[in-house]
Amino acid sequence: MNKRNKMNKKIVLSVIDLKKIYDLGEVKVNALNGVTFDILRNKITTIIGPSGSGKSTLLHLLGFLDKPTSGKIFLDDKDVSKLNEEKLADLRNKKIGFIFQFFNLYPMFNAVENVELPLSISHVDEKERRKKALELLKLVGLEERAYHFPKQLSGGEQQRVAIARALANNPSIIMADEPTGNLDTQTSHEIMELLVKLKEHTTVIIITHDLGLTKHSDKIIKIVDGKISEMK
Amino acid sequence: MKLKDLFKFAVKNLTTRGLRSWLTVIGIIIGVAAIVTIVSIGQGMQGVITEQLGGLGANDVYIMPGGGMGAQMMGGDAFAKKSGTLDDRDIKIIRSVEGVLAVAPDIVGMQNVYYSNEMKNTYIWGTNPEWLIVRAGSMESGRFLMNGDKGVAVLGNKIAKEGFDKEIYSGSQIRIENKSYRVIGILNEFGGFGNSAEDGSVYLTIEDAKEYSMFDEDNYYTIEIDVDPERIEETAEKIKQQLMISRHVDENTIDFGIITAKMITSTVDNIMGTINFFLLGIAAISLIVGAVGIANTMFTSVTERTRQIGILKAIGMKNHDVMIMFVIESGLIGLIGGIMGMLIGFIISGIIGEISIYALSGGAGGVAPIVSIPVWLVFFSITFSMVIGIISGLIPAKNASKLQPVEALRYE
Repeated sequence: MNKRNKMNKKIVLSVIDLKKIYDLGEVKVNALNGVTFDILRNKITTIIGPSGSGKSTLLHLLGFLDKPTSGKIFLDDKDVSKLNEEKLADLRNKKIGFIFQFFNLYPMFNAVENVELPLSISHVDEKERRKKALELLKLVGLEERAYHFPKQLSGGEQQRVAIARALANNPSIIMADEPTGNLDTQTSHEIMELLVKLKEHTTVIIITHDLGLTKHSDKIIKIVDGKISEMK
Repeated sequence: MKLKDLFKFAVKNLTTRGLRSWLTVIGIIIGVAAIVTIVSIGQGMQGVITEQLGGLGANDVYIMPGGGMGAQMMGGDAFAKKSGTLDDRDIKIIRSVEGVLAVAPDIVGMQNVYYSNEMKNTYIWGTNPEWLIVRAGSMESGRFLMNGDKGVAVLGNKIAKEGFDKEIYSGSQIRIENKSYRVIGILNEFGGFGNSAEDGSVYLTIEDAKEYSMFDEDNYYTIEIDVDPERIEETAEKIKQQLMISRHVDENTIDFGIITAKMITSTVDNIMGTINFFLLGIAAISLIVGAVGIANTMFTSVTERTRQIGILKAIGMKNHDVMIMFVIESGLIGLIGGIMGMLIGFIISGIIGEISIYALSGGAGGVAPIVSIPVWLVFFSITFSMVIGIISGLIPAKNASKLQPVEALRYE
């Protein structure tokens, strides 16, 4: 095995000259202006930048919620930048786990049903997905609250459910968009500890403007005006 | 996603939106209940009328003179191009036709009938003994007219029992104008809505009735024929051809009308069909309104749930699954509305049926309900409302499935 292959094994996501231009009719907005970087397996990468810098656009592209105008994205060495919506949905379901600022749990479902959602989308049978979901809730310390509905849970608890849901299909990457943006300091701290713990299982990408989150990071990418201004 | 899971998903979505879902369901319930009620009453009415006409004798063929009053009343005149008369020569021809079982000519008049110092104006029929066979009638007491009878009368059930203060029995004497007649029999009731003419009439022999006839002495008002039930139309056609030959007329100069009970029934069916069609049209409008209600609810639902759809797409739900989920929801609204509308329609038509029995019989019972619920209606109303639900949900569902995940997630 040559050096290049060894290197590739460590890279889970590779981004080459990624551009996203929003065509607003008369004006064209260069939200992302050619960024190139690698995300390493089992590491925490934090993408920081002021609002309007293009970091949310980058998250949408990395999470396959949106398609780039140009450039390439390789996931596990496969070019995924030209896939159709159906295939992208599959990738989101199996390869990516999302954690949002506003938790985004499905309000009609209780905690365990929310965790089961990605599993039922990928056709896991009923018994198995309940078992898996309960295990994951235990991992995030919420087994006692498994049958509570989102509105009966605190912000921190809801975010734990969201993390459990993000882990359901053993994704390659966890995408966390301002995961502590809506939580108090104490809870933020707990959630961060949990995310750090996830490093053992998967790769974590955190998008934030909170510099406090960078202290746990293995890699920091700073975006300004749609370009990488700093990477360490 | 598996269909079973999508189904559970849809049920959950509907139940959490309780009141709104129910209001939409009510829209469908009203439409379906209206249709079920109208169809079951329509079917019941048709059944009752057909049964009534059956009293005329389903194997009966009627011959009426062209331009005659009977022909005009029964619609037979439509077949006659010229006026004419019917007499004993025609009877002879008719009897010779194969398949003819009984022939009864009628004379009709209206006269004052007297009984124990009371007077009543009623129909006087002159006919022969075969009339009882043709009309499939039966005697409550005594006997019907026989050949050679003179000065005797048979009474319809109603005129005998209710026509006068004192009931008339077999053996009583009645007077028509200034002639006395001995009552030799009372017919069983022919029944039906209100008073049927048969139950309120007096029956004499042709010879006796001639002087009361509304028409010329030797002419018949109608000739009623009982034919082989296996070949009613065929026999009717033969009778027509034979009469045309003997009367030297063709299709353009035909001077008599011929109709079968089946023709009358089909005329009634046509009329009922038109009425039912009209009423169904009105009911269908309410169902369309219900469908618009479903579409509206589903459109609002898609807008309200945009963010939720975004979440589902972010965790990998595919477009067609989102679409199926919404279609199941709207289909369920239709299905539930259909089932409940059908049950409520049945209850309403049941109540109307009970009222009609009471109203028609004066509480005495014995009248067939004017409501009948066909089995096809059960399946039709459920399937139809479900299909309406699915169709109304298609466009909103399509819209939901086409939402871009990023935009849906941004939606507040």
